[in-house]
Amino acid sequence: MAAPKPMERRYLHRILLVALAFSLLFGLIVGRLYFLQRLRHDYYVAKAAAQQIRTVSITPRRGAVFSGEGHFLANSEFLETAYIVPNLVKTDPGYRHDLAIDLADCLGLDIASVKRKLRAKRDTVLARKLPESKVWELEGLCREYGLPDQAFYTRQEGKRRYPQGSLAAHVVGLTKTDDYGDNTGLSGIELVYDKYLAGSPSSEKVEVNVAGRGLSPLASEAYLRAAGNNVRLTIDEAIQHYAESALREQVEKYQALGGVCVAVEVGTGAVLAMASEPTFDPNERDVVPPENMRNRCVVDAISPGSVMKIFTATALLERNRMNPYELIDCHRGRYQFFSGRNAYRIRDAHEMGVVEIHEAFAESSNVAFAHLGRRLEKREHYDQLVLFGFGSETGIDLPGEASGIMHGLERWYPATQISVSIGYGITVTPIQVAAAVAAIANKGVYVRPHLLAEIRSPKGELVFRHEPEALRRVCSPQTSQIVLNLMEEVVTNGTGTNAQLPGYRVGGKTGTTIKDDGVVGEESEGKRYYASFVAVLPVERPRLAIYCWIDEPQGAKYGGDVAAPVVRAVASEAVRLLDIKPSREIPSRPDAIEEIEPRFEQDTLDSVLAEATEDGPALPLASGGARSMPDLRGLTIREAALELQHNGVDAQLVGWGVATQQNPAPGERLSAKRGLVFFSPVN
Amino acid sequence: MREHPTGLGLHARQFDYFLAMFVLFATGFGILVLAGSTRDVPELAKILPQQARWWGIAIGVFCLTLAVPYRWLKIPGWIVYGMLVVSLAALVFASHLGMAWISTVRAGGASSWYKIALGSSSIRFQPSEFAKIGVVIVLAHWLSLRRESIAEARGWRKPILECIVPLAVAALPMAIVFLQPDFGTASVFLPLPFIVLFVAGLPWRVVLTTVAFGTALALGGFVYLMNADHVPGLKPYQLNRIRVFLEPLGKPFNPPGVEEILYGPAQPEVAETSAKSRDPDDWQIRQAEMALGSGRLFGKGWGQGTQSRLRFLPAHHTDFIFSSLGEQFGLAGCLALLLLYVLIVWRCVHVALVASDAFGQYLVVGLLSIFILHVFLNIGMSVRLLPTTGLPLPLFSFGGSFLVTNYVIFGLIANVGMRREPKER
Repeated sequence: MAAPKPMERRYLHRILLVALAFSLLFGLIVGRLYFLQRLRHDYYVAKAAAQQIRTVSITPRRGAVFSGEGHFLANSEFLETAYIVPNLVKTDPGYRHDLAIDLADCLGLDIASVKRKLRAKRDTVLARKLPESKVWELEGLCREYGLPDQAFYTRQEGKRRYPQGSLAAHVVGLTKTDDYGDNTGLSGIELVYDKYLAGSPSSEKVEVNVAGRGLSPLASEAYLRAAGNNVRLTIDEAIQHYAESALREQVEKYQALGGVCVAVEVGTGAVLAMASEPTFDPNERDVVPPENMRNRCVVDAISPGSVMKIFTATALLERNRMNPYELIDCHRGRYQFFSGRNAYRIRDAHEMGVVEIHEAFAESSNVAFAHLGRRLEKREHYDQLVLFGFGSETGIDLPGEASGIMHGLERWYPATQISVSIGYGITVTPIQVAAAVAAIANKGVYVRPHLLAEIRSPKGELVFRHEPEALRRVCSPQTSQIVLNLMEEVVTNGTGTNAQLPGYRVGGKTGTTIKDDGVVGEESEGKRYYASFVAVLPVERPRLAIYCWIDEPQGAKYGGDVAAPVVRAVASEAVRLLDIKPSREIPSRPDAIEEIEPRFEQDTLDSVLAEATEDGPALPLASGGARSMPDLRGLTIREAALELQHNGVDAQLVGWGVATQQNPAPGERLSAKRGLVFFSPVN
Repeated sequence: MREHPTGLGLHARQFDYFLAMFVLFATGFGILVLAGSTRDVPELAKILPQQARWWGIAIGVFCLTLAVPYRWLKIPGWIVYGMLVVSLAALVFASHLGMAWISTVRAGGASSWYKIALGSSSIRFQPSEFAKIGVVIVLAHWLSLRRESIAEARGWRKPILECIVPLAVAALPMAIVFLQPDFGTASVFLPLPFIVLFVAGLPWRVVLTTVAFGTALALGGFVYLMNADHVPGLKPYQLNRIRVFLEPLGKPFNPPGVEEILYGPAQPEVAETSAKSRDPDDWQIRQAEMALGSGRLFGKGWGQGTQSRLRFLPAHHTDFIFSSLGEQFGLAGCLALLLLYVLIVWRCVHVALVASDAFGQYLVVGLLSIFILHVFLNIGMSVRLLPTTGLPLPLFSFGGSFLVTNYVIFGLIANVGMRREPKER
C-alpha cells in the first residue's frame, strides 16, 4: 500500500466525490418530490380539479317531435359558430398570412375573405354551422399558432330542423330563437309541449380540456340530462301524407282557397291525420305568408251545414222523437217557416215528396230536418249539442283552439232551432266535428281528441303516456247504431256515393254550407261555399272518423262531389295502413235487390248468419242485462226496427222486404252479441 | 489455473449487463408513461410507434458503439468535434444557406435541428446533442495528456493556465448553442470542463476558489437579473423564464391555509389558473407542479393523468414527461425512476473506477455528467427547483435523436468498462 499509486488511480476518490455531489442533487429532487406529492398533494389535487372540473352552462338540446311511427317530424342539432377576435391576433403580416392560409384551408373559405375577417375591429364570425369535428380542428390550429385563448371561441346553438318538410307542419308548429338557439315553442306541438321539449339549461360539472371545452359533450351524461324530452305524436305519417296530398289535389282541382282534413281514431281520440291547406314548409318559414301557418283544423269555426243533421238525428233518436222509417213530407224541397213576422225559407237540393226519414237523411233534406228539429224541446236540443262538445274547445293539445259559436239557451229563438237543425246559426271547428262523429261511432262515448302519444326522456325512459280520455256518453249504443246505419245509407245511395270504398261499409254525411249570410238553402250564382264531408268506417266496427271541408271550391259546391273524394282517398289508404279488414257484406243498392231473387241458398244463409254473429262487434247493450230476441219473422223492416228498438235489442238488418231469417232465434237471450235479421223481397 | 479469456470472450465477460438492463428498463418505463399520457390525445397517437422504432435504432447504435474500441476515438474525437462546431455554427445561419436537401427545423423558438431529406422521408438531426459527446471526448483526451502537469501544478498561474484549453473546448459550442438560442443545452456544456478538470486532479485550492467565485457570480447575477430591464444576450422570454423561476426566492413562501387544503382553493384562484393567457412560462410550470402534486403517493393510474389527457400539461411527452410520470404513478413512480437512474449512475461510477486508463476514466465521468446534468435540469425544472430550460429527460422523453445520443453515451461507457484490464487474481 505504501507504493505510490499510478497516476490514473490517484484521484479516484474525486470520482466518488462527483458521484456524491450527484447524489446530493438526487436528494434535493427527492425532497422536493416528497414536499409536492406527500405534504402538499391536497393543495395540488384541489388546484388541478379546479381547472379540470369546470362548471359550464350546457345548451339544452330541444327534444324531437316524432310521428306515430317514430320518425322525425322535427329535431334539433347542435351547430357551432366560431368567432375570432382579431385584436388578439399578432399583427405580424407573415404570421397573419400563414394563419389565414391555414384557416381558409380548414374552413374551405378563400384566403382573401379570411384575411378580411382578421382585419375586422371586433369579434368576427369565422364560420357558422360548423360540426364538432371542425371546431376541434380549428382549436388545434389556434393552439399551433399560439393564439391566446380568448382570441378564438365558439358558441353552441340548437338549430331546429323539419326533416319531412311541410308534413304535419301545422301540427308540429314552429319555434323561435332564444339564448340556446331554436328552443322556444311558438305554435303547435312545439308550443303546447314546450316545457317538455325545451330541456333545462343547466350548468353541470364537466371535465374540460385546456381550451375550456367539455370533452365529447354530446355523449356525456350532463348533456343528456340537460336535453329536452322527445314527444311522439299520434299522427300516422302515411295517413297524414295521403290526407295532405288528397286535400291539396282537390284544392287545386277546384281552385279552392283551402281546406282541412282530420282523421280521428274512434275509441282513443288519437288524431291520425290533421291536414290544413294552404300549408307551408317550416324549413323555409321566412318566405311563408303567415296565414298559411294557421292550423285551420282547430282555429277555423264554420257553419257545418248538413253535416249537422247527424247530430240533430242523434238528438231525436236519443229522445225517441223519430223513427228512421216513418214518413216525412219534404214539401218538394221548398218550405217557409214563420216565426212572428219573419219568414224563413228552407230549400233542398233534391226535390222530394213524402219519404221515409232515412231517405230524407240520405238525400239531406233541409226541409225534413228543419221540421224534425222542431220536435225537440229547445233544452233537449241544446243539451245534446253541448254533449257533443259544440260551443267549447275539445281540449285537444294544440294552441289557439276555437270554441265555435253556439248561442246560449236564452238566445235560442224558434228560428235558431230550425237553422241549427240543419247546421246554420252555429259554428264548429273541424276537430269538434271529427270528435263528435267519432263519439257516435264509439257507441256513444265521447273521447277527447289528442295528438300526443307519449313523451320520453332523451335516454328513452317514459315520462308521460297519453291515456284515452273518455269524457261522457253522448248517446246510447242503440242510437249510435241507428245513426251509423243512416250515415251508411248516405254513402250507399244518398248524396255521398263518392265516398264508397269497395269492400268496406262506409257511413258518411255530406255538407254544403253557404258562406254568405244569405237565405238558408238559397242557391244562386256567385255564392261561396264550404263543401264538407264526414265519414265513419267501417260501419260494423268503426275505427276511423274522417272529416274534410274545402273552402270555396270553384265549379262545384256539393260536399259529396268535392269533399267526399278526399275522404275516400284517405280512407282507402287508411284501411290498408291500419289493416282494417274489409266488411263481409258489400252494401248494394236495395232497389237492385228488389228485382232479383235472394242470392243465398238456405244453407249458405245459415252459415253466413252464424258466422256474422259469432264474432260480430261486441256492443254492450243499453242497461246491461241480457235481453231476449223478439220474433221478427214476417215483419217489414220498419216494423222490425220498431220492435227491436222497443225491446232494446240491437240487430243488423240486412236486405229489403220481409224478415225471413233471424239470429238469434226468437226468445233466445242476447248478451253481448248483436242480432242479425235478414230480409228478402216479398214475392 | 484457468487461462483468462481474451478478446471477444473477455469483452463479453466484462460487459456490464446490469448497466444495459437498467438503461433498457428506463426506456421501457418511458414508453409506458408515454402510452398512458398520449392514449386520449389523438394528435400524439403516432409518437408511440415512432419512439419504439427509435428505440430499435438506438439499440443498434449502442451495439455499434461497443464494437469500436474507445481508445480509437481520441483523434477522430477532435475531427468530429470540429465538424460539429462548424455544423452548429452553420445551423445558426442555415436559413440563409438555402440548401434543398437540408432544412432547419424551428422548434420551441430555437433552430437546433437539421432536417435531412432522404427520399420520401427525412431525418431530423440535432448537432448539439452529439456536440456534447464530442466535447467530452476532446476534454478526456486533452486532460489525459495534461493530467500530470495539472496534478503537479503549483502556485496559481499554472493550474489556471491548464484550465484554459478545457474551458475553451466547452465554451465554443456552448456559445453557439446559446446563440441558437438553446439555453438548456448551453447550461449542460458549462459544468463539463469543471467536473472533468476536478476528476483530473485540479488542486483543491483552485477548485474551492472557483466555487466561491461561482457562488458570488450567481448571487450578483440574481440581483441583476431580477432588476435589469434588459439583459444583453438573453431574449426576453429567456429572461422571463429565469425570473419566473427565481421569483419565489425573492418573496416569502406562502403556504396554503387549512381551509384551502380542505375545500380547495378560493374562487379567485380558480379563475386565475383557468386564464392561461397570463404568463405562458409561469403557466407551464404551474401545470407541471399541479400534475406532480395531484399524483400523490401512488398516482392517478396509468392513462388517467388528467393534466396531460386534458392538455393542461404542455410538452407532456417531451420536456414535462416527468410530471406526467408523477401524475400517473405518483411519488412511487418518481422514486422508481430515480432509483433506476441511481443504479445507472452506480454502474457508471463503477466503470469509471475500474477503467484501465485516464482517458477512459475522464470519458466515463464526462459522459455520466452529461447524463446527470440532463436528468437534473429536466427534473429540477419539473419540480420547480430550476428554471424552465426545455431539456428532455434522458432515456425517457419522446425524441429520436436524443434517445440515440443517450444510447451512444451508455455504449461508450459500457465500451470503457468492457475493455478494462482484467482483474489480477
